[in-house]
Amino acid sequence: MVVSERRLSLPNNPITGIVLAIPGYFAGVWLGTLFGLDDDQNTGIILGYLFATAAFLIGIGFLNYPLERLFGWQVTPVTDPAENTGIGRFFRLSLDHKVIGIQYLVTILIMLLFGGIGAMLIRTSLLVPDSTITPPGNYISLIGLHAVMMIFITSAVIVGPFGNYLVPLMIGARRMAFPRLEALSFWVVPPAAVILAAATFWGGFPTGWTGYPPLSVQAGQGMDSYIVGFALIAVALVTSGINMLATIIGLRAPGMTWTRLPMFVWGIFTTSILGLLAAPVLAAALIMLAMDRTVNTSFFLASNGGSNYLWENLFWFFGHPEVYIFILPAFGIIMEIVPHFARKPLWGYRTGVVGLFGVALLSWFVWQHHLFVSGIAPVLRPFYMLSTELISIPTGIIFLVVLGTLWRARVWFTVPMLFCMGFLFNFLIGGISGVYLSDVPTDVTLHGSYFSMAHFHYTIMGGEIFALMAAAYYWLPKMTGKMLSPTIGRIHFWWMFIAFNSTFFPLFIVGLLNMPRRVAAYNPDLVGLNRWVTISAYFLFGSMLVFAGNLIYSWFFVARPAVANPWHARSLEWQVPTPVPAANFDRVPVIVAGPYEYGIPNARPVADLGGIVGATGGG
Amino acid sequence: MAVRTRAYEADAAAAAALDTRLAGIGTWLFLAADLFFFVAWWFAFFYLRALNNHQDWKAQGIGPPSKGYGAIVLVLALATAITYFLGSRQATMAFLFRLLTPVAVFSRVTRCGTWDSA
Repeated sequence: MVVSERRLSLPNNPITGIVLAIPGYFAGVWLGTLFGLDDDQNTGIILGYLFATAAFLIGIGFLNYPLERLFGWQVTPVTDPAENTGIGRFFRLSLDHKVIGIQYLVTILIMLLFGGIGAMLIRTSLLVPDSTITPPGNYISLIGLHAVMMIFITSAVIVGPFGNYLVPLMIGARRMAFPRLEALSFWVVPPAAVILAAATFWGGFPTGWTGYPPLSVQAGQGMDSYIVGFALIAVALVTSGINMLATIIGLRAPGMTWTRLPMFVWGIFTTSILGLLAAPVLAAALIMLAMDRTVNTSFFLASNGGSNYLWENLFWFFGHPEVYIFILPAFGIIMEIVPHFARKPLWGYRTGVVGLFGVALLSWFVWQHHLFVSGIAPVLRPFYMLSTELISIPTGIIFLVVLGTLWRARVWFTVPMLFCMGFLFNFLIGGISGVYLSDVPTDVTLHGSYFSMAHFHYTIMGGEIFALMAAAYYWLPKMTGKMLSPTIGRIHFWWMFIAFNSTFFPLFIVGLLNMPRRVAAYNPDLVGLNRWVTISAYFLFGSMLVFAGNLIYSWFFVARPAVANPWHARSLEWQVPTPVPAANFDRVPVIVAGPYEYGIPNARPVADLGGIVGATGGG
Repeated sequence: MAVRTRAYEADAAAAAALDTRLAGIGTWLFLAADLFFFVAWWFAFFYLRALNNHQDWKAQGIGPPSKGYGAIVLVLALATAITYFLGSRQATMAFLFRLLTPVAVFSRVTRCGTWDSA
């Protein structure tokens, strides 16, 4: 077939995207207003957001490839070495998984800053017990914005930067299975964040992150931001899931058997299964909610024959696996990093994998524990109580695998290892408090209180974010080519660890004293504890600034180049040069041993790399 | 069984075979996601029908949703299927294929169809 030399040559970059998105938004609003059945312009706003997002993606360049293929023009190559140079590659559509990983990292850190500022505003409001700093309506909007932004972030904070960057390197592949899909999973995240933030122009939304009807059907136009923003994150989860799974299934190097797969890759694998299957349910529920708000359906309005329980079931069918989308990659990180610094083989590799799959499987059978006090049929409660409590078994197995690895080890207490230890401490508290909440009698008392709020912050921030920090200190030298300062890293760890526990542990007590979540005013007797928590939260925010300071100091002022394998680790990603070559490997590696065979006499190198760097024998 | 990734640096035919296999895996995964999407709708239908004890679903006096939206989706689905059928016969109907490509693009984008296989 003759291929035309013609190709699309639009200036594809975020500026073009924004330039196209603005008229796209107004076109959507106009069209929606023209045909919309509602009086509140919800149709127009939703279409405006969708058109703006589509126009932004076209401006970035996502339509080029399908058009080039369809019209028989010259197709932009999947891996173009020319695009792998210069800082400009981070500001345009790239098909290089390493560039996409860095794009994710920077974007997520910026979003984390805004989410953190939201948390500081919430805690500042709670300095006084009478809602004089923030009126109740604004307070609940603030809660919703903080919560949804953080959900966006924590859905992608490990899979996005580290999954995209590292999975091909760890399995011996030169690219992802579907690079354009991978890029799409990233480029829908910035519009999702902007659309969510746009809710502030419409007065926010009053439902928190759960979006319960009938309030979400009746709420103002800020709710449309919630719907479209969350739907875009669902798209990101599905596309990322397809790409990760296809890559791990189909692009492993010869010899990379399932039992040699690094634990971090197993964490990404199980997470991707959850994202792939749970996010479509959320997308369907959001479409129903949008239709209730725009075209007079009544999926969730009991007054018209619908049911708010339908939303609660659909939402939590997504929502609880979503919790494990946060934590499974964190488990993978901990089980990945600990053997390297314990200098011992991972204790119970297959058991750890079974633990990951056990958590992933059971996560589909627990969602109604979120509805214990909603008025569901009492006969349903015992099943969901037991299924939820069962999850503690595979979780405990994962803990035992890590503790067994640490047993009698001569641990190298690097900064990543310190964060792993912090994870174990925090997640233990988060996990055990979760068992109390899964128990119906205690949940009836504690549901909706600060106890549950402290519980999930211990699991998500104390767990996932500490694992994120471990991953950052461990892998950023490979990703950026610069070592981070270990001294500032240690200061960061202890500061963050103490401030985190000082912030969230008192909230268990506040919860036990019946302070409800999402309410700006509270019992004046609790003002002392709340002020302690607020001041601790400021320190916690400060610890994140220490991390940001370490990045800036280490990258721009010291700029100490990272060697190829600063941790003397066995796993494959450390056997390639730093910075990582454009095609990852000169030739496809042949894997001949597992990644955790430390201290084993005569252990073979992990791979035959054809002499790029030379695999370490470990030990 | 790991795919011999050595293939994609060997020759174009092997690279194409690998891409075909990856596309197959991706398609099955997309079908799984698609299944869960529609299961949510089926669940909604049967759940609401089961709860409809008082026959107040589609209550009188409430403006029903427009059937136009459903009709548009149906037309787009049919257009996609027809275009795909014709497009798959590109070797013999290249001109018609190119003539219909804008329809295919529009309908696929509108229906949030699957993306490329790189």
